[in-house]
Amino acid sequence: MNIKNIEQESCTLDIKDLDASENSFLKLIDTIPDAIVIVNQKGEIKHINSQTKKMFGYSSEELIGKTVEILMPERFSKKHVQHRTEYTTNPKRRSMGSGFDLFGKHKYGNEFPIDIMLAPIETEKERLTISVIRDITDRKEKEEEAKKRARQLEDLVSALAHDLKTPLFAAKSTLNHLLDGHFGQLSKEQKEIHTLLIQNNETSLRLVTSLLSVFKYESKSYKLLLELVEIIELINKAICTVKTMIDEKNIRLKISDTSFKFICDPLELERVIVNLLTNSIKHTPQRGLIEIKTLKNEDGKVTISIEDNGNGISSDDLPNIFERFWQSRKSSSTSCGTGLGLYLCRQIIEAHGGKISAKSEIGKGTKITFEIPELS
Amino acid sequence: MEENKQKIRLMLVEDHILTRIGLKASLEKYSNLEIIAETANGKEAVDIAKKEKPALVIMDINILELDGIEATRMIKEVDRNIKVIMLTSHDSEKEIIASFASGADGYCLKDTSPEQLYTAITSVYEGNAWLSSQVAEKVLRNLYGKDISQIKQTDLSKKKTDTPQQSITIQSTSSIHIPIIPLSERELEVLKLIVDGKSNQEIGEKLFVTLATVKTHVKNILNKLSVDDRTQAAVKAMREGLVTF
Repeated sequence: MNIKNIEQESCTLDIKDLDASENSFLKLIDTIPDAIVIVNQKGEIKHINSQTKKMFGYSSEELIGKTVEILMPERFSKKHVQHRTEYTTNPKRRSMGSGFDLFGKHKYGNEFPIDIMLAPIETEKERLTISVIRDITDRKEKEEEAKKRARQLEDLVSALAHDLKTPLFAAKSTLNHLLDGHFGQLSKEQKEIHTLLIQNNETSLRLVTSLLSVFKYESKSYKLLLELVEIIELINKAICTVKTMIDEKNIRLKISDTSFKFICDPLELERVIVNLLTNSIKHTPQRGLIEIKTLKNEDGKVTISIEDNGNGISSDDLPNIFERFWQSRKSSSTSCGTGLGLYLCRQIIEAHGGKISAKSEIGKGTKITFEIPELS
Repeated sequence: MEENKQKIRLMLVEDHILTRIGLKASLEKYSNLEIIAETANGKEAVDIAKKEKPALVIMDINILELDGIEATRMIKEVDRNIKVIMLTSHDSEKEIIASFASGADGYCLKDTSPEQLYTAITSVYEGNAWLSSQVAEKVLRNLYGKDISQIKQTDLSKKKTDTPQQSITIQSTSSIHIPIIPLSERELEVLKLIVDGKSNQEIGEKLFVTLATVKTHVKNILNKLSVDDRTQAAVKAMREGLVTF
């Protein structure tokens, strides 16, 4: 007998002689640390274990024969009657209310969070449902605490990034004026130090602005500005932004000339394309090739891919490139990326209800593809 | 003649010293600008405005004693002719939208280039309104943007729910919607072109209207977005939720 069979068999327990072995069965469930409530098809409580009495504060006499809704807050009772009727017509072992927060109600009215597992039992007399109820107050408190801490940490990082912006921008502006001689001419050595300061300032500013963008896209109040745009116009705008970089490396650019209109947030999508192109340019050798393909299929879905014949990404790194703060160990020493660029692209595409993915081979190149469904 | 041209008398209100140094250095390059006063303090800014009557004030939001929004409001009470450009590092929508309550004549972000800031100064000095492209984007997003959750639903149900909201949302302790006068189609077009980084001249060419018409549209947009004392609740939310000292 394999495990699957055992699973299937235990799904519907056929306890033909429950009456005969009732005592030992009830003794058995009494030892279980979860509350166990057995109800019939009418929803009446037939058996409970000791833990049920402890958890809900009732005696056996107060519960046996009552409908099971006595154990839950009134706001759930009505819906529950409906649910249990449906359940008895199609019984199977499952957890109850998946995706919802369930609550039990103590005799004295206080509510507590619970998890419930349901399983049908066939007896000779009737079909029963066994409910295994677990008080998850501790777990919920820990989850809430963890969520609170994560929120506090995010708030702290966000506030920090925000506060760093002012001095970093101020430094940038003053550094520029130092270079143009506003505060006197710089010596050769001072100029060298100045270049390093500018580079450091640029990296820090990029990190701070990317971090703030991450929080912006994660915030519930963020909105997309949807518009009907022509794909060629969108691609051309993005290329304009990175043109100097393309020219510097003499990169050949091949763009599919498919023309179509689609609905998207053009400002955000332009950011995605600029970001992807910048990555491609950075990792493509002199006179390399970057190819942009665009396609709109019959159901309105738009697919855009950007492919280069650059360094490529290792198969170890590939699954992680769209994660927050991901940066290849190999490239981190040479590039001054923030590890947030591709994560931001993913956030924007997902906000459109789309998907982004990557294919790559070391030494051959990388292809990033994203899809956007038809929006209205 | 260039020499006879009156210089634009400026006051800088900014509490971050390095920012002020950078700002001053940027503006000193222009011979028709004269920085007559600088302060880190909102209250002092109002006093200086009374005595010195600068032509234009560059105002930060988070400054000492009195925030930039309130200081602007008070300067405008002193003399409506004193022009004010809000220059803030806040790029979140709520701060930008809330700063409209001040009744300033222009709104720029601190990463605005010196050249753009100079254009904003001369434009506002001539009596026009100014919105930088980043600020315009925030406004547009807030007024006509769609919630991300709503976009996904729309996609599944293919339902058209494109009714532009005519209120500005300020998120503080609780969300508050400030009703605004709806923008006209033309104003919306202008706002979109500002977001695209187009100059007033380019906007005029694109829409086949004169430069003066474009300027009027920008001024009207700004007037419609300015929340005044009538919306006490909004201003209260803004001050509680946004301005930290």
